[in-house]
Amino acid sequence: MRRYPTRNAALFHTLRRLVASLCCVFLFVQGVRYGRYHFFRPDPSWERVQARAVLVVGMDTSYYPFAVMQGERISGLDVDIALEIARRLGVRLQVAPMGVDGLYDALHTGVVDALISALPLDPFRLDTFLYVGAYLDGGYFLVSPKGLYQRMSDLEGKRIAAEYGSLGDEQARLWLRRLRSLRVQHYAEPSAALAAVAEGEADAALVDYLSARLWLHEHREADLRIAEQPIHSEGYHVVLRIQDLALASKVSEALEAMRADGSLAAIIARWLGEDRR
Amino acid sequence: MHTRLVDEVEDWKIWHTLRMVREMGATAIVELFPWAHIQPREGVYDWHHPDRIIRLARQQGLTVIARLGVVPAWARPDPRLQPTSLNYLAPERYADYAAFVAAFAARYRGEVTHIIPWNEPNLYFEWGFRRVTPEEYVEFLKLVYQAAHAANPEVQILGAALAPTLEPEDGANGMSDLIYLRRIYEAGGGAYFDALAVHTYGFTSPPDDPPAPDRLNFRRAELLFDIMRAFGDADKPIYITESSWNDHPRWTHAVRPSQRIEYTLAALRYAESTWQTVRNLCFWFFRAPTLYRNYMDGYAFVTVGFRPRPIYEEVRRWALGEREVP
Repeated sequence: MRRYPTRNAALFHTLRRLVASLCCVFLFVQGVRYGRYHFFRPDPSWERVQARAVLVVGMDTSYYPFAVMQGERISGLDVDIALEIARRLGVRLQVAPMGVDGLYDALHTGVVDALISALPLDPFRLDTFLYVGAYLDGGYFLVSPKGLYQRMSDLEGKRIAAEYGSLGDEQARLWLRRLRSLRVQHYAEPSAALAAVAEGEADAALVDYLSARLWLHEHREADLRIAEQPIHSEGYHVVLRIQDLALASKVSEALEAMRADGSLAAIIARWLGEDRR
Repeated sequence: MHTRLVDEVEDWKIWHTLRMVREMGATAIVELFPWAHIQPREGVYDWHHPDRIIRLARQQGLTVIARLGVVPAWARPDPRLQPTSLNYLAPERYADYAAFVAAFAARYRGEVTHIIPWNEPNLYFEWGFRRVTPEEYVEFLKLVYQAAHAANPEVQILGAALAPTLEPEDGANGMSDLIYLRRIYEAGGGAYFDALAVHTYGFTSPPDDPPAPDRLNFRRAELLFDIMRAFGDADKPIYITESSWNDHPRWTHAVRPSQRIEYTLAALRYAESTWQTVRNLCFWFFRAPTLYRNYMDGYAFVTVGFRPRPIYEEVRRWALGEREVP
């Protein structure tokens, strides 16, 4: 048995242990309460979807080419991805059209099972939502003849075209301070920046991925390539409630399978044109 | 520049914001000072936060235009009897608000010379979900004006900026700003403000888009000036305390980033050359302490992390005379 020099020391030791034990119990209870430790909670999310045989997906249907509503018909890249995920899960897809501001509320309150709506990861929401596999990177990429320039550091002494005021412009301005010589050329739209590169007025353009893919699809004669890696990444994810781990796992598996067998790339190519990297 | 310092905690962030505002070339800030924060209990004032904002703004040589709003719990009905919003102020409590404005005006005499009592009172939401009536605002303004001038004769009381809206006279969400201002004058309200605060947003139109009663655009402000002129107030100073274009990629009322810069600079030039009685053109908003995570983020001039967006750089270049406006 442990001996203490005084009775006070023994009492202090006991008190310390008691406080530590209480803290552990408190943290455990809070953890369970706020859903940190899912193994203590049943997760019926996948069974629920299976029982209904319907996957309800929330989408902003005013954002071309991801989802647009024409009369009763909703179509777009996100719609096709959601259809393919639902098919692989063996359920029917039901799209819940809504405004972009209502998406997270609809998911949080259980109106929908998931969101597929060109949503980038928001670190502030990670306590409440799960972001499953980025199916597309809509960030800013360099576009140059034959993909000559892959990184901003390759542009020493070169001319870069960017949409005036855009995030690409913001990034280019940052690199003005990092390179000894860089000329930033401004254009009113990403398409004009890309056209400037195609015509030799600029060496590379820094534009968002969507604009680049759509422009290249319409200008097949232009020998421009999109860089392999983004300068500013913004992955679009499928979003689910944090407690719906079972459903998230199924969705993630479906997305991975789509990526592996090329069906994801085929859907993206259907809406954005071929991938020219 | 309209700043968002009321919910900023750290001194260095307030200081850094104000320094960047000054470096951009702005001479004034508009800032909300919530009554509920400053007077949390009846008769108890906590001036700590406004003191430091005003001190730091003065250090940067910036004029502070103070907007006073947000009603404390003690000045609203018991929520168990009547749930109310933070903008709800019953007429029997107007005197309490007037006393607060007077205390504010007296404390910052020589430091804050412009006070805006309330914000967009022509909106149902901003008027505490009470029926919007310009005549009631005149009663409110009269009390505030008299109390503030008694406490500090130098202070300028600005008539609250009205929300640009196409709502009819008895609209569900409020009242047309044009009808509201006209009725303020008809109720004799012109005697109770030294200057008028104005909100005017461009939305998707360029700044030279001509004004019309059925359009919301930058030059809609001129319709308000016409009303002032019609009531003999043509020379009264005007402070545009909110204006802007938004470049959020997913908002239907937004423009492209390039358009936002061009429109903003053209608006500055237009206001400077054409609007003789306009003293300041302030943009909504400089920086927020955290992201709104909606279209509002498309108004910011500087990121949450203090990285200047291109619009900041271009306005700064214009203010320094390094850039011509097309």
